[in-house]
Amino acid sequence: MSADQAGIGPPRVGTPEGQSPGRAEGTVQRREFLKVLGVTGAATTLVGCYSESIEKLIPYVVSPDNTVPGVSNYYATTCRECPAGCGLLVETRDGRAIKAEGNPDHPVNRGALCARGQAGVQGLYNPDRYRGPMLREGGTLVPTTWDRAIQTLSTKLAEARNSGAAAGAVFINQHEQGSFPAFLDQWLASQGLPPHLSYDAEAPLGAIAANRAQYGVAWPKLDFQAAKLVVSFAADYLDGWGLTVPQQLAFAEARARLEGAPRVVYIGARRSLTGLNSDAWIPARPGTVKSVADALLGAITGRATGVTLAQAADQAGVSAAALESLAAELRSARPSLLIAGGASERAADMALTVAELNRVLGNVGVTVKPFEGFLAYEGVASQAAVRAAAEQMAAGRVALAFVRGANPAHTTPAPVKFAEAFQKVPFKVSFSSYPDETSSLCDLVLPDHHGLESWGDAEPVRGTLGLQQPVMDPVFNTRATADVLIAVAKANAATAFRYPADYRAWIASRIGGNAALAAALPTGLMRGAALAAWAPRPVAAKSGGGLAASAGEYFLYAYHSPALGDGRGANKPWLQELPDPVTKIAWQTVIELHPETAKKLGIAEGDHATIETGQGSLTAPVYLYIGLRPDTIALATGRGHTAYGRYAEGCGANVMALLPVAEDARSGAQALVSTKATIRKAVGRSLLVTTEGSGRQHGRGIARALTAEQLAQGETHDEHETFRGQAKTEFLPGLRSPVANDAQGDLGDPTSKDKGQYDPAHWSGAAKRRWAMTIDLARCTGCSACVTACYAENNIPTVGASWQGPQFLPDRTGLGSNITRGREMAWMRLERYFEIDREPKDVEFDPDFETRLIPMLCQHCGNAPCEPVCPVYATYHSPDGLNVQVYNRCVGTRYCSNNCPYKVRYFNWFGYGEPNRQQYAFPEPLHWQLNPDVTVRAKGVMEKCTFCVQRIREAQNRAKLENRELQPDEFTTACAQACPSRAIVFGDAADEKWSVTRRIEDARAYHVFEELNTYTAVVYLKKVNHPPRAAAAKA
Amino acid sequence: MTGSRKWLAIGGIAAIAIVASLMSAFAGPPQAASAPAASQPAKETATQLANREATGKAPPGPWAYSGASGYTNYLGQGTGRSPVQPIAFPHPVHVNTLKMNCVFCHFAAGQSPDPGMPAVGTCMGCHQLVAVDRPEVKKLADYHTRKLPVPWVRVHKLPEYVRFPHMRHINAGVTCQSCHGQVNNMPQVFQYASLNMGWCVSCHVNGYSPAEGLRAAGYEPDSAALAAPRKKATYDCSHCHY
Repeated sequence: MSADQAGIGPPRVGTPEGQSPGRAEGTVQRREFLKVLGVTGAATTLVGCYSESIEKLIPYVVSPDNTVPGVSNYYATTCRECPAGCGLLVETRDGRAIKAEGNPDHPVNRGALCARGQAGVQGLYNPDRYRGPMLREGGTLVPTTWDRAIQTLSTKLAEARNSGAAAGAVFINQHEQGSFPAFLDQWLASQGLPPHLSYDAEAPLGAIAANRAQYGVAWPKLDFQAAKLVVSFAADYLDGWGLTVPQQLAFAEARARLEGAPRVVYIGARRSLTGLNSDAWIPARPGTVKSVADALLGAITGRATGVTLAQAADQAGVSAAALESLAAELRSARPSLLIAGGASERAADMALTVAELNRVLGNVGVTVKPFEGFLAYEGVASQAAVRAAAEQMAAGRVALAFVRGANPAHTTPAPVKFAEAFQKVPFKVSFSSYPDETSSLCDLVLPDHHGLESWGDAEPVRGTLGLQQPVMDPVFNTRATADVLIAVAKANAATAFRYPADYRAWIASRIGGNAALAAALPTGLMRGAALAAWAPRPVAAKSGGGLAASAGEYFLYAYHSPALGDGRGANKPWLQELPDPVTKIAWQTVIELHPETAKKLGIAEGDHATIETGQGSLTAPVYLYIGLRPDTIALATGRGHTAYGRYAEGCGANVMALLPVAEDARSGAQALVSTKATIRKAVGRSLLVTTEGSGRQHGRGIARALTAEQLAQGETHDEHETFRGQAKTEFLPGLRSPVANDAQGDLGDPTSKDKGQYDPAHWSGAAKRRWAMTIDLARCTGCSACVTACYAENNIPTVGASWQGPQFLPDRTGLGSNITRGREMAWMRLERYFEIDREPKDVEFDPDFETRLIPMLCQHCGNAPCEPVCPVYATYHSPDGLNVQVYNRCVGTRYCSNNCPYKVRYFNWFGYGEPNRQQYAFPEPLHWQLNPDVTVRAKGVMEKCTFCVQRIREAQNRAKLENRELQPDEFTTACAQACPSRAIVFGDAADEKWSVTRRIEDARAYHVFEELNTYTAVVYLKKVNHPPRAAAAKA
Repeated sequence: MTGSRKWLAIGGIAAIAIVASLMSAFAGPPQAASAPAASQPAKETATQLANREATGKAPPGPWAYSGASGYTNYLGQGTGRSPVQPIAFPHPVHVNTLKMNCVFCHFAAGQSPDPGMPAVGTCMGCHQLVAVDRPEVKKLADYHTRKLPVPWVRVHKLPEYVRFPHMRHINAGVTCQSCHGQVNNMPQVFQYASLNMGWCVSCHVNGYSPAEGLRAAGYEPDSAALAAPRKKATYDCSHCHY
């Protein structure tokens, strides 16, 4: 009986009646149909799939010195993305900067680099940069020549001097450290103009004013490592407040002492990333942190400070017990470190109280070190000064205005009406590199070089001069502002003699000549001092009337976005795509509400809501955040640009539209926590552009922790440990893989003796090494510098821009549409889990919750679920322990991603890497940043973390070239290199001389989803919690 | 489907197949060789004949390490391809007559994945004085005066998903001629080997013989080279594809 007759087998094609086994007249049997198809199909030859065109080989005209094509050069310079002045080593290839890395010798960052620093190259190659000087003619800015532009500037300056209007001119410069502010002031004086305003919208002026009053320096060194207790009074020192990188370096070192680490407490209305990394959160009502500080001072010293602990607890809306226990801890844990931040109108006063507390507790010189401080904020002007300048402009008293780098039209509160006032100035000059809200109003644009194209210097710590040098020729027809100023001065005989030919020569002459400069440039550091700028004149501050007096039911808590800052990062797609470390939102402004409040107002997550203050209103989708007081609404700054390039425009909303002018009397700082607001549900809802799958772990043991007590007692295993007692020394990551072992054997036969390349004794030596990585969750703070470093190193496309959605979307408002579909591309992501017992939307307010932050990347499983399922063998396990993705074999089945339990594989749904496609992620000249050692993936290809295989091979090649063995810890991955917490360690686990080998055997080590038998090469070290002694049981 | 329509279906599919072949055969950028068929050009050009004859005494490939076939596909890529260059640079004059080593111009071959092309300045180092009246040298001087690079047409191109490190091969002792043929005898450089993956991997697996490498370069191997064992190399995918 044939298969057909038995009724099994495939159904027949076209049998006219039932299951008759006979062949009816005229029917086509399936086999015949397939034969027909096969024969005619074979005649169809697919020729011409190959579309590579003939290329040219372009040599140099003159071969540059010290350049070998295909080998990178590294130049030491200074980062200018924030005033900290971290040292960079910029990797350049064939004359183009491709990656910014930290300079290991630099005293501020010691080799680490934050996300903003990594994204500097996207500012350098930004497609929307001014490409040359511009002059306003007939109402629009049109390109002009440098000669004409400088001539125009000279003419206007002469007019101003002659008419006597020069004294009323205003120059607003983006605050930077180094000699340039002093150089600028000297030049301004020589032209008869008043000194400039060194403006930084993000500068923590309250703390700076208190530091100056108490210690005489703007920023002392905060030595976390010497402290037994760290208390932050609304200072987000891990989030972008102050100098994040050195603060994070010190914080992580302190926490890495595990049982001996300090306990960290955060006082503030919103649990920022700093708060999430703290052991305790005291959720003080906005504006009451000063009362808490006063009460603590009174409790410890016995002085009458006007408020007792009980009263302060009442004002702040926290439990008196919490404050009592904090006071007790302060008395007993010495030395401690108290850090004052705050963004209300009383911030400077609060900082003074905290400084006094530090003094009384004996912390000065022990944990607060004024004489080892950083000089980043010397000379910074108050935001009140900028507001006062705007008032002068509005009154018509300013004839000439200059702006360089700063964007006050976006960063000042709405009532300042900066743009309107600015337009009243008859002639406005911008030296900015980017067309932003301020520079697009100007009459003359003389675009400055990017920091990576400029000469300069910085004095990050006293006595050490950090040099800044161009790492490549200018990308566009821009000129260093200092050189433009020198050219203007040289045109006038009276001032010409003061300056050498250019700014580079000026710097060289200050440090001992060209020879000294040349000798110092390889390291970028030398002994010396920058020229001191004149101290800014204090300006009378304008109060906003006080937080309590404003109208509204909820406090409005505006805070600086960690990645975007005051808005300067919004034109860099890496920073827009970087999910906020706390909210995990990208490309979007959200209104943060506590779930309790949202429930009360009938708002679900994603619903639009409108906030109204006395100054304006703002509508945005709502995000539910459990780390916020229920009586507070929080909003990040940084988005809502109207003119800052294609990545910034049309993205989000500007919270400054809601704030009043409310300045701290002592410091002139613009308060971000200065008003109350009303909120009501608005029409519509949006999907949140978030990379968060779930806010909780659901008991899966992804990010694990133990308390310091447990660690001290050696109880390092918990209920997730299914292989209790298994000796960790027996385990080499990846080596246990049954798939890897017999991959070269006889057709995968597990009994085969031939292990091919996977045999450590094989002549190729391919299996000698076993690459592995440890990530210490006790150190990781969740800053996400690793994420951006990975984007920079591995040509990862950003996918959230509005034109990167499907082509058929009619209105092209696909902002973040790929991310809402779960199609983000970040090879490394930071997962943030709240340890709560119910969904965040159902949580009632409780400040006592733990948060765990875990970087998740391809685990390079020894027994990888993704490898056996690839139909074309595009992914396999290499003999040296890597899970390799071969891009050219991949046909885009996506079965590997389906099978991956960690979901760390990413698919190119669109041609993000193909220049002729709409979704191309690297518009010219962003593609100059691409790493030539890494393939740019086309549409339809799967990609994932490769453990920076290009760095592994480069190091191996270099060792072979130099006829030596690879040194232990000779190189590392991009993420490990960038991490300011030093949480990631990468290396060869088969060789005990590499540091990763020791860390794999740590008592706290575990693998994520160990129970799935994946034998991951990434080992995590459990986080160590420090609950208060009394509440040890709760951990 | 009824039986009568069976031939309609076959005819239709065959028609589509023929049209598709014709369309794809005529697609792509126009090139000098206009033959649309997917096979060798019918007639060898004079240059190709000269090249073949000039290859000299060495027996033609494939060597033990060029295990795969090589052919010129209809787009004009692959073995035998010899594009016309903007300046007719004669390797025989410079290498055979003047005894210049490969790495005099292709200076980075021993240090970098990329062998490097000589800068215009490198050529002018001699040619500002030497043979200045030759028409090709005049072309070179013209590029130099206008401060423009010479836009050489690329002969050897690997796809962008392959990373080929020249320095590893040079330092392992592989002679340039093993892969590039006797460029010193080529009046116009042509692609000698197929450069496809099978060709690369077979040498890695079977091993490079220093004796055969020397023979490829046109030298007779000495006893040390004859006795030297074959040098094998890794054939792990992630060493070249990342």
